[in-house]
Amino acid sequence: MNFSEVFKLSSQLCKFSPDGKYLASCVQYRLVVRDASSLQILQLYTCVDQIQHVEWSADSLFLLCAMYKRGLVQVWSLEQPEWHCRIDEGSAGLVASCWSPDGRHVLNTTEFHLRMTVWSLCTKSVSYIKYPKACQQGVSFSRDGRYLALAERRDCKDYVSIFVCSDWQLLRHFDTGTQDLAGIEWAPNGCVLAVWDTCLEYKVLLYSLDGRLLAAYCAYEWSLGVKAAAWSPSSQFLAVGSYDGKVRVLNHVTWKVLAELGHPAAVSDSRVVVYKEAEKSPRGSLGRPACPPHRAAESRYEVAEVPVSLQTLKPAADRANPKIGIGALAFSADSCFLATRNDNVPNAVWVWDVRKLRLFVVLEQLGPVRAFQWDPQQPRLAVCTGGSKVYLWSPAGCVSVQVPGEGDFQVLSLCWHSNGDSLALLGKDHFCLCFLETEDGGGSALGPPGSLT
Amino acid sequence: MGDWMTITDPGLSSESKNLSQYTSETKMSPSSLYSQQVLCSSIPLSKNVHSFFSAFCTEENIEQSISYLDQELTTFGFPSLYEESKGKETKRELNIVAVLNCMNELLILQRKNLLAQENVETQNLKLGSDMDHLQNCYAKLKEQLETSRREMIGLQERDRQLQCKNRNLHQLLKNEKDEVQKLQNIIASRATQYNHDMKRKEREYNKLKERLHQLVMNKKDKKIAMEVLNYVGRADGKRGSWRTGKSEARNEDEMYKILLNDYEYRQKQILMENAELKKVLQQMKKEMISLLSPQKQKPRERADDSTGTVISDVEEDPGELSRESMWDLSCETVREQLTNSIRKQWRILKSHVEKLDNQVSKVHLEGFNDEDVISRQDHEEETEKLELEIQQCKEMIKTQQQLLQQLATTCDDDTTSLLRDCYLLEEKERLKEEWSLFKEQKKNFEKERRSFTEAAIRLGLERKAFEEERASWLKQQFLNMTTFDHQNSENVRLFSAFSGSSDQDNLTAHSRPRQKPHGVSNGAPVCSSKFTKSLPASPSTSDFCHTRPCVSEHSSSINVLNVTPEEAKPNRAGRECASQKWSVASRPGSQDGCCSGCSLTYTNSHVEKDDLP
Repeated sequence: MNFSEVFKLSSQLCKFSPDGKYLASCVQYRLVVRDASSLQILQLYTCVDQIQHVEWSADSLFLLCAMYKRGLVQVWSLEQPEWHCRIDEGSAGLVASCWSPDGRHVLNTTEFHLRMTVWSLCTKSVSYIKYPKACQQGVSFSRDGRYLALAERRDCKDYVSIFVCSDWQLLRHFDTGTQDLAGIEWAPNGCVLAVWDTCLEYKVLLYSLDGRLLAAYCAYEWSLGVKAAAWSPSSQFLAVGSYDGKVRVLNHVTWKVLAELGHPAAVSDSRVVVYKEAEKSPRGSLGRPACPPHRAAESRYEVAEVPVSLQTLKPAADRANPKIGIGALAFSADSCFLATRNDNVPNAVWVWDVRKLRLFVVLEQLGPVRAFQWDPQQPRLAVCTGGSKVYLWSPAGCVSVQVPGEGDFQVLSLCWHSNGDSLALLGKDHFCLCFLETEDGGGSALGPPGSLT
Repeated sequence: MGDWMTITDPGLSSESKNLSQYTSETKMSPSSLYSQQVLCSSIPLSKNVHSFFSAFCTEENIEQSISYLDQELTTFGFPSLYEESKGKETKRELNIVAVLNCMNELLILQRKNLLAQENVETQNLKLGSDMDHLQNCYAKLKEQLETSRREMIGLQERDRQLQCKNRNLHQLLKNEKDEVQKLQNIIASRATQYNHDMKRKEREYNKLKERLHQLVMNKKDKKIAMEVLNYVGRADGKRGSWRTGKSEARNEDEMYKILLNDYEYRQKQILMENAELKKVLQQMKKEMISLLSPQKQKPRERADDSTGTVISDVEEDPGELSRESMWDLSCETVREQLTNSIRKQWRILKSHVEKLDNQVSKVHLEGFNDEDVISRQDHEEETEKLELEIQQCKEMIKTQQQLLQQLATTCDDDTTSLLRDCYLLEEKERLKEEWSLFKEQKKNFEKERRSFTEAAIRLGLERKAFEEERASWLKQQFLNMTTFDHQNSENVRLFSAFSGSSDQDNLTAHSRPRQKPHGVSNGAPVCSSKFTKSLPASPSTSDFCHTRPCVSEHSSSINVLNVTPEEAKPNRAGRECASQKWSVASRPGSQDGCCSGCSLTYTNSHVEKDDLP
């Protein structure tokens, strides 16, 4: 495992290009494009203001930089550095900007969600989509880039519009039986759209591409409902995490629940391996409080004896957005594992075996888990907790790796390279790359579990 | 009510107590008084008799006292003290005799009375002590009653308290329920209100948005613009197309195409899955049939309807076999047939396994007293018999040899031999011939014996091996069926390795009674040895396409098997009876132990020898 030197970064804006060749990062108003392997600067673009959002086009040819404060979007071409495009939303304002899957259109959402503007880079045409809904996840492109599903709100009712991305023609428009739609997401095969309601009501609806309602699912009533949802890459499963601390896995044939995965704070199943992060303290317990370490002490994983009770957080019941329920969940690339985080057990990541539909591994960190992401190539999970370490888990075992470098590098977020060979670790003002050797790296990065514990 | 009771009770009880005490006192007092009186009165009575009488009667009043006593005595029923008056006016005279009689009677009476009094006193004392005891008992019981009553009161009190608590809790629960209901109502009303408000707000918001939209968008905002250096080509290299009805239709088409593709893909997957499952089912069925068929040779004896169904099922199998391709058609009737037969087979298998289990437990219970051991005994007996036979044969041979030698010596040195030379030579020649024949025969016999013992040993080994194999195979087959893991030929080894001896025993025990009916006990090993040859071919075949032919083959081989014991039987029987004859024949010779007997044995053996081969 090798680490690159630390580079400057602002607003955690650092993205690998979809083809994996480049790495774009933003420093204030500058956009830096590097070679993803050598990290040499290939291009340097200067925007008019602090960049708040950056996004690669799907063909890795263009870069979009959004400056929401100015209501401005600047597009840069990698092939032609002199080419530029500047989209100004003017007084309508700008709250979100994204590429269309073809990489030739930019979709801007104006302030107050008045409308969505579709700017074409090929022709001078502009399309408007009215009444986009302001919600958690109101826009979803199908994986093949053919369709756009958009949540809308008209006359106090939720609608979903499905557009054909090639010519922005409206294909289907239907109202959903939701009270206050919170999110939509295409299944990876692009044929089923999952729609879930606001947290006040547990409701998951599944629509076919042609607008038919395939199934509606409601696990319970009178309590806070869906918090997060994720499709398995095989489109076979839809995992729905809710405020009751459970993940419900729906199957794609009957759309019924296959399994209810509870996240109790006490793990008692003897088949489950609990990796507990433990601080390595060579100075001993007496010396530690006397001189608080400037740099966090190194840590390692220990396999805990199985009846384990995890640290829980008492949520404030009288506040909005309570820290309870399944706030994050993700399937591994091969759909074999599901990683989840229960927000009132903030230090733990649960990894479930999807084939057996049971808990496989629990990682208990010393700090609250900030982010986790699966390797896009193999079942390997990267976790960060806002400390100076990055954690990797695979079925073979797990490791805690200290990010080298002077000062305190706090890993707030991370993103994988598309080939799974490297990992960008994003801090508040810096980022660095972590290279996982492929030849013998699998061994060094994640050796047999015996050597790690 | 309870309260009332408890309150009134103590008063009542105390009252009754007082009362009882009182009564007891009253009861007690007279008796004690009486006894005291008696005690007091009896003693002074005897002392003061004289003084009393002296005081009663003086010189002066003799007459009056006599008359008084007379009166008194007559009233008490004594005869008068006076003589019978002869005349009216004559003075009556004191009859001394009567007086003495009276006195005596009085004394007797007095004594009697004293005795009675004594008796009464002792009884009284006894009664008094009894009384005391009873009173003690009574007091104790009373105390007990009191304590238990108190206890009861306490318990009642507790009960009352608990009831009270319960009532309170019920009340609380009801209140809570009411509260919950109320809150739910409130929530519902709030929710509706909230929704209503939300809708209102949203409408307002929408209006504002609309207004804003008009204000922002309608004004020719110069700022809303895109500056592009030059337009780039589309990613797919095509030019953008106009939006027409045609394109719309095309989009629809495409959408449906995608959906169709997806459905087709899924259908294909499901079909594949189905096919695989069907295959598994079929394999299972075949395996079950092959597994169950070995026990089919004796269903007639068992008259078990379950095995009967197996037969019928197997009988219809060839028909199904020819329609193997039909499985792929996923025809409903075929499916039904398949599932039905599988179910049937499964049931049979289950019952079979249960039976096996039962047998296993039985075997464990009975120790090793089972038929398996009996068969071993048979075997041993057989070998013993054979050894005996061999021994006898050896003896016979020895005697014959001796006789022959004697004969030869007598022939050699006797001069009389010359006389008989003419026919002795002839006889000698014949004897020699016979001798060689006999030697040959002996050799043959030895060979046969060896081969037979070898065969017996081999049979034992083979049988054991077969039983082991069969047990392991059955088990593996069954396990395979349950785990749907067919192709693992390694499993066979594995399972045979760990299948315990109990299974084996159980299997042997099971196989044993089947073979028994088919003839002599010797026939069984033959049969089983045939089994070992035919069995492994069918079950352990990893390619299941051939299992069915194998099954039929197998069944046919079984039919053959059924015959073989019968075939073997006459041979064996013949041989056995022959050997018996041998032994019988040899005996007289040995018993006689003379030259004449020798010739007899010879002839006998000669005769026997003819029908032996």
